[in-house]
Amino acid sequence: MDFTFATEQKFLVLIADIAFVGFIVATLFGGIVAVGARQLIHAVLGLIMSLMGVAGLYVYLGNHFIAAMQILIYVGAVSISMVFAVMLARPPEDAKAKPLMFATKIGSGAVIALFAAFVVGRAVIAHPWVKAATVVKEGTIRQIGENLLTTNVFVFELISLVLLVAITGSVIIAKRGRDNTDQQGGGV
Amino acid sequence: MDFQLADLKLIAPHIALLGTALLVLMVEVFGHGRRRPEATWISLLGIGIAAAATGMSCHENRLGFSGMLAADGYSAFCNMIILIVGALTILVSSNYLKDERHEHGEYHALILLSMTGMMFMASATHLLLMFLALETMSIAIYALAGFFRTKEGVESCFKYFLLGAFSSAFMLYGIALIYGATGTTQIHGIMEQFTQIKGLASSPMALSGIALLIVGFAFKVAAFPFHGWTPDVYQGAPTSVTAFMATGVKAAAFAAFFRIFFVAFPATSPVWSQALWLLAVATMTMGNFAALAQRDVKRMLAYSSIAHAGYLLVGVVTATAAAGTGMLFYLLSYAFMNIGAFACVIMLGRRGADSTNLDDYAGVGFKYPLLAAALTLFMFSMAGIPPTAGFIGKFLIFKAAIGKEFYWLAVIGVLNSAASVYFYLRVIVYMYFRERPEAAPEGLRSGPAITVATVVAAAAVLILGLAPGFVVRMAEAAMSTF
Amino acid sequence: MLDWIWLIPFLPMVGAIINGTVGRRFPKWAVNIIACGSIFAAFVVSVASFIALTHLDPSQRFHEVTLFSWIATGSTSIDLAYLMDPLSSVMTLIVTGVGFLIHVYSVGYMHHDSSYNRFFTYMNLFCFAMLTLVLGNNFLVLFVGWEGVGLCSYLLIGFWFEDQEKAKAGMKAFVVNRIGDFGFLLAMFFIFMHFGTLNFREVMAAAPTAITAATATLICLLLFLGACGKSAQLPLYVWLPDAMAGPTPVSALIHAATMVTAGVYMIARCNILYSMAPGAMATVATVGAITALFAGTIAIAQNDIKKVLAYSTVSQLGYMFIAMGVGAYAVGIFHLMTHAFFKACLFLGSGSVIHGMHDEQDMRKMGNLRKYMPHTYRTFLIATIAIAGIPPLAAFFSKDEILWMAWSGGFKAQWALGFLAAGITAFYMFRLVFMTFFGEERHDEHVKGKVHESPWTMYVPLYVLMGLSIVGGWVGIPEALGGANHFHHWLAPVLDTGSMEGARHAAALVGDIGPSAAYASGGGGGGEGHSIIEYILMFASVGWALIGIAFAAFCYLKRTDIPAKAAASAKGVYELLYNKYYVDEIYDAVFVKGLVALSNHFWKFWDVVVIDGAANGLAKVVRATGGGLARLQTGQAQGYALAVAIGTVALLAFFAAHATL
Repeated sequence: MDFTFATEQKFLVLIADIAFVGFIVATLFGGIVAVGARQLIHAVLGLIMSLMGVAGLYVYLGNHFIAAMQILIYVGAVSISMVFAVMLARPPEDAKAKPLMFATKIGSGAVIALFAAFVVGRAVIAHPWVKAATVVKEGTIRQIGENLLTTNVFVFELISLVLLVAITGSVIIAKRGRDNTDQQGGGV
Repeated sequence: MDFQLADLKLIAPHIALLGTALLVLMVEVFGHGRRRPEATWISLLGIGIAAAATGMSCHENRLGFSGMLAADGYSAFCNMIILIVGALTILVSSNYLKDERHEHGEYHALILLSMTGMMFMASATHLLLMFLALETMSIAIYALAGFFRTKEGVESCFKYFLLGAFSSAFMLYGIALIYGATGTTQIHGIMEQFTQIKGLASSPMALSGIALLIVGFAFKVAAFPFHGWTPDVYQGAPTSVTAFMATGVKAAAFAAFFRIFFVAFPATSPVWSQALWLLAVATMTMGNFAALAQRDVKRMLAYSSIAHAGYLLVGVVTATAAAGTGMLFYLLSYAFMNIGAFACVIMLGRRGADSTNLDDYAGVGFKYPLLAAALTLFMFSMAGIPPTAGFIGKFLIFKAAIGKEFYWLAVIGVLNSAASVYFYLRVIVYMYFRERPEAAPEGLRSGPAITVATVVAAAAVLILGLAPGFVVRMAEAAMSTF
Repeated sequence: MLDWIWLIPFLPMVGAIINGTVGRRFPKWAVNIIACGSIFAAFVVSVASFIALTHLDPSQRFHEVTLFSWIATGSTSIDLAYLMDPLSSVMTLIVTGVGFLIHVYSVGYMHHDSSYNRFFTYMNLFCFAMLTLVLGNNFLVLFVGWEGVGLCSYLLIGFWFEDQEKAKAGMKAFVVNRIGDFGFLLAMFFIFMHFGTLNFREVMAAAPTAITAATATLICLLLFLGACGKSAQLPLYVWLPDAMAGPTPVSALIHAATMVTAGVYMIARCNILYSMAPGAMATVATVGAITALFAGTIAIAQNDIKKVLAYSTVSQLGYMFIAMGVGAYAVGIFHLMTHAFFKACLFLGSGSVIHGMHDEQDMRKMGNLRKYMPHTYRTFLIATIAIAGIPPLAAFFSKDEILWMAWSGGFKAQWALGFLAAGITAFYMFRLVFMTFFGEERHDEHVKGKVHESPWTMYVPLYVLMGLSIVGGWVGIPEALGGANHFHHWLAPVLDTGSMEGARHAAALVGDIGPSAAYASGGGGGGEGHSIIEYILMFASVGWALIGIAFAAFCYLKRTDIPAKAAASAKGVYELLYNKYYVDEIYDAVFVKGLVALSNHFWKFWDVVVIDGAANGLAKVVRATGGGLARLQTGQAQGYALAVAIGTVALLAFFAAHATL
C-alpha cells in the first residue's frame, strides 16, 4: 500500500480515518447499548446505531450497494418494525424477572466475544486469500440483479416463501381479538 | 445455468404443499372465521398429492435450479418421512384443536408451510437454499408453538424464536466463512474446492465455518449444549405441535445435516467427526440422565428426544452409506413412535389441563386397555426393545458405527439405550401397576382421526420392527443415489 | 416333520392370542383347554421332530426353516428362521414338557384368581418367546426371544399388580436384565462386524479362522455379561430372589426350569467361540463356582420357602456355568435338564404348600405338614433327595459329572468351591424339608385345622416331575459307572468340537495338559487311570451330601434349639447371611441412589445453575417440582443463549486446534 497523496488529499484521508473510527465506535457502542439497555426502546435505538455503523463499514469496503441495502432493510424496515412492536406490545405484567447478574453477564460476554474474535480473526488473517480478478464487478447492482434473476432465481423465490410464512405467523400471533371472541363463544 | 421449466418437476411436491397451504388460508379467510373442519381434509389431500409427486420425481436423480437442489432417492425418502409426519400431525390435531377451541385453518396452513421448508431442506444442495428452507420451517414452527396463546405457549414461542434467531445467525456466519474459503455455497462445488485447493482442509476459516454450521444444526436437532430450549418449548407448545417439532424438525435437520457433511466436507471429516463424536456422546448421555429425573411425561419425552438426537448424531459421525440407511430408518420409525406417544398424551389430557404428570397415568392400563397397549408399544420402541421399529433403527445405526470402528461410540450408545429403559418403563409401571385415583377424570379426548393416527403409528412401529426389510431396502436405495 | 418346527413356538402364541383377546368371555374350562392344549400340541410336535432327528445320520442332524427375511442390508440378510438340532431339540422338549406340566398345575393353583385368562395369556406368550429363543437360528432371533422372555417374566412377576412390592420386583428384574442385554447387544454387533452374519452355524463354522483369540475373548465376555443377567449369576443375580413375588407356577416355569437357563443355553450354543477364548472360559467357570457357593450360603439363613428355592436356583445355575467354563458343555446341558425336573417339582411343591397353608410362606410357621399333605410331601422329599445328589437320582449324575469335569480339567479351585456348595445344598434343602414337613406344628391360629392337600390337577404334575427327577439322570450315566451316556452322544454333533477345543485351550491356561487330553479322548468318561480318582470323588461328594443331610436332621429334628443358639453365638455371620451379604443395600446405595443423584445433578446443573444463573436457581427448583406453571423469565432464555455461546466457542476452539494457523 504505497500510495502517495497530495496535501489536500492527506487532509481527506484524515477525515476518512476519523470517520472510519467513528463507524467502529458507533458499531460497538450501539451493540453495547442494544444488549445492556434497561428500556427496550433504548435497546432498539442502540441496535439502529450499530447497524448504521456496519453500513458505514460496507462503504469502506467499497460496496455501496450493500451499504445502501443495509440501511434500507435493517435500519429502515427491521428496526422500524421493532419500534412498532415495542410500542404496541403490552408491557409485561411481571417485569421483575431477574436477568443474569451484571458481573456474570459482562464477564462471560467479554470472554466469549474476545475468544470468538481471536479465533475468527486469526482464521480470517491466516486464510490464504486469493485476490479476485474483478473485484469491482462482484458487488455491482447490475451483477446482483442478474444473478438474482438467473442463477439464484430459486433463492429469490424462496425468500418470498419465507416472507409469506413470516407474515402468516405474525398475523396468527397478533390476532388476539378473534381468539378471545372465539373462546367466549365456545363457552370457557 | 438458467431457470428451466423442466426443473419445476423437481419441486412438484413442494409446490403441491405450498398450493394446499394457500388454499387452506383462502378457505379460512372466506369462511369468515367459522369452524372449518374441511381444513383437515384439504391438507390431507394436499399431502397425498405431494406424496404422489414425490413418487414421480424420485427417479429424476438430478440437480436442478443451477445445482440448488436435488431430486434423488434420498430427498424422496426424506420427503416421505416429512409427509408422514405432517399427515399424522394433522390427524392427531383434529380433535385436539376442536377440544381446545382453536380450530383454525391457519394451523394447518402453518404445518403445511413448515413442511414445505422441511422438504426443501432435505433436497437442498446449496447452503443458502438450505438456510432459507430452515428459516421457512422454523418461522412457521415459532408461530405454531404459540398457537394456543396460553402463557406457557407464548413463552415457549418467544424463547424458541429468540434462541433460534441466535443460532441461525451463527449458521449464516458459518456459511459466509465457507463461502469465503471456497468461493461457492453449492455443496458439490465445495467438495471440489476442498480436493483442488491444497491446505484448504486445514484452513482455519473453512474449519471455523464448519464449526458454526454445526452450531446451527445442533441447535435445530437439540444437541448438547444447544438443547436448553427443548424441554421448555416442548412442554409449553401445544402437544400436537410438540409431536410435529420433535419428529419433523429432527427429520429435516438431520437430512440436511447428513447430506451437507457427507457430500461437501469429506475432506475434513477427521476433524468434524471427532467434534460430533463428543457432541453425540454428551447429547445422548445428558438427554437420558435428565429424562430420568422428570415426572412430567411431556418433559420426559422432550429429554428423550434429545437422547434420540444423540443416537442419530452417531449416524452423522459415522457418515457412511450404511449409517445413512440407519439414520433414515431411525427417523422414519422415530416419527411413528413419537407422534404415536404424543397422540396418547393428547387423548389422556383435558381441555386446559394437559394432565401430563406421571400420576395422571396411574391405572390407565385397565381403564383404557387399547390406549395403554399402544403407549406401551411406543415406549418399548423408544427404549429400543425388539421386535419394534426402534430396535431395528438403533441396530442399524450402531452396526454402521461399529463397521467404521467407532467402537466406543457404539458402546456408549448401547449403554445409554440400556439406561433409558428405566424412564420409559416407568410410564408403563404407572399405567399397569398403580391404582387409578378416584378423582381421575372420565373419558378420553378421542375421535376418529386421532384413533386412525394412533393405530397407523402402532401398526407401523410393529411392522417396521417385524418386517423392516422393505423399508431398509428403500433406504439403501435412497442412499445409493448420492 | 422337521419342516413343521415353526409350529412349536407358534402354537403357544396362537393360544396367547385367543386367550388374550376373547378369553375374557370364555368359561374357565375353555381357557384351560386353549392354554394347556396349545402347549401340549407344541410338546407333541417337539417329540415328533426329536424322533425325526434320531432317524438322521448324526452329522446331518440339523434342519433350518426360514419364515421370512427379517433385515436385509446390502449383501447380508438376517432371517426369521428356526433351527432344529440336537441341542434345540433337548431344549424344546424341556420347555414344552415341563411347561405343559406347569400349565396343568396352574389350572388348580390359579383357580380362584380373577385374572385367570390374563395369567394364561402371559404364560403362553412366555412359552412362545422361550421357544423362539431356543429355536432361533441366529443371534438376533435369539435376542428377540431373550427380550421376549424378559418381558413376560416382568409381566408375570408383577402379575398381582395391586402389590407395590411386586411391581417393584418386576421393574428390578427388567432393569437388571437390561444391563446384561447391553453386553449381549454389543457382542452381537461385534459378531456381525467380524463374520458378516449372525447365523449360528455360519458363525461357528467360520470362527476358528475368522477371528483372533482376543476378539473371541471380547465377544465371549460380553455374551457372558448377558448370560449373567438372564441366568442370575454374580453380580447380576439380585433380581431372581425378588422375582419370587410372582405366582408360584411362574417361579417354577420361568425362574427355575426355563428362562434362567437361557444364558447356559446361549453359551452352549456358542461353544466354539468360547473354546477359542480360554480366558473367558476361566471367567465363566470362576463366576459360576463363586455364585454356587455364595448363593448356597445365603439359602441357609432364609426363612421364606420360596426364597430358599430361589437362592438354590442361583446356586444350581452356578454349577451349570462351571460346566460351561470347563468346556463340558454337554454335561452343563445335562444338569440344566435334570435341574428343570427337580427344581420345577420343588417349586410346584412349595406352591402346593403355600396353597394348602393359605398363602403362608414363612417356614417358621409351618411344620408337620406331611400329615396333611402326603402327596406334596412324598414328591417334595424325592426331589430334595435328587437335588442333594444322592444316587441314583437325577442330580447325582449331572452334578457329579460337572465336578469331575472341573477336577479333571485342572480347575481345582472351582471344583473345591462346587464341592463345598454341594454339601451346603444338601443341608439347606433338608433344613427346608424338616422345617416344613416334620417337627411340631407352628401354624398360625387362622390356618389351624384348615391345612389341606391340593387338588389332583396340582399333585399329578408333581408325581410326573418326581418320576423325572428319579429317572431323568439315567440317560446320561457316565461311562465310568457302566452307563452309555446317551445324552452326551446325542449332543455330540453340536457340542463336541467345542468341548475338545476348549479343554485343550483351558488346560493350557491352567497348565495341566494330561487329564484334559484324556477327557477329550474319552468324551466324558475319563481315561482308565483317572477312573479311580473319579470313584473317590464320587464317594466323597455323596458322603459330603449325607453329612449335610445328617447335620440338618440333627439341627432341625433332634436338637431344635441348636440353630437359634448357633445364630446367637455367631451373630455376625448369621446377620450377614440372613441379610444376603447386604448386596441389595450396597447396590441401592451405590447404583440406584448414585444414579439418581447423578441424574439430579445433571439436570439441576444444566437447567438450574448454568441456565438460570445462581440467582434464580432456587425459584426454578420450586417451580419445576411444583408442576411447571412457568413465568416468563428472560433470565432463562439468556441462560440458554449463554450455553449456546459457550458451546459455539468450544466448537470453534476444537476446530481451531486442528487448523494450521
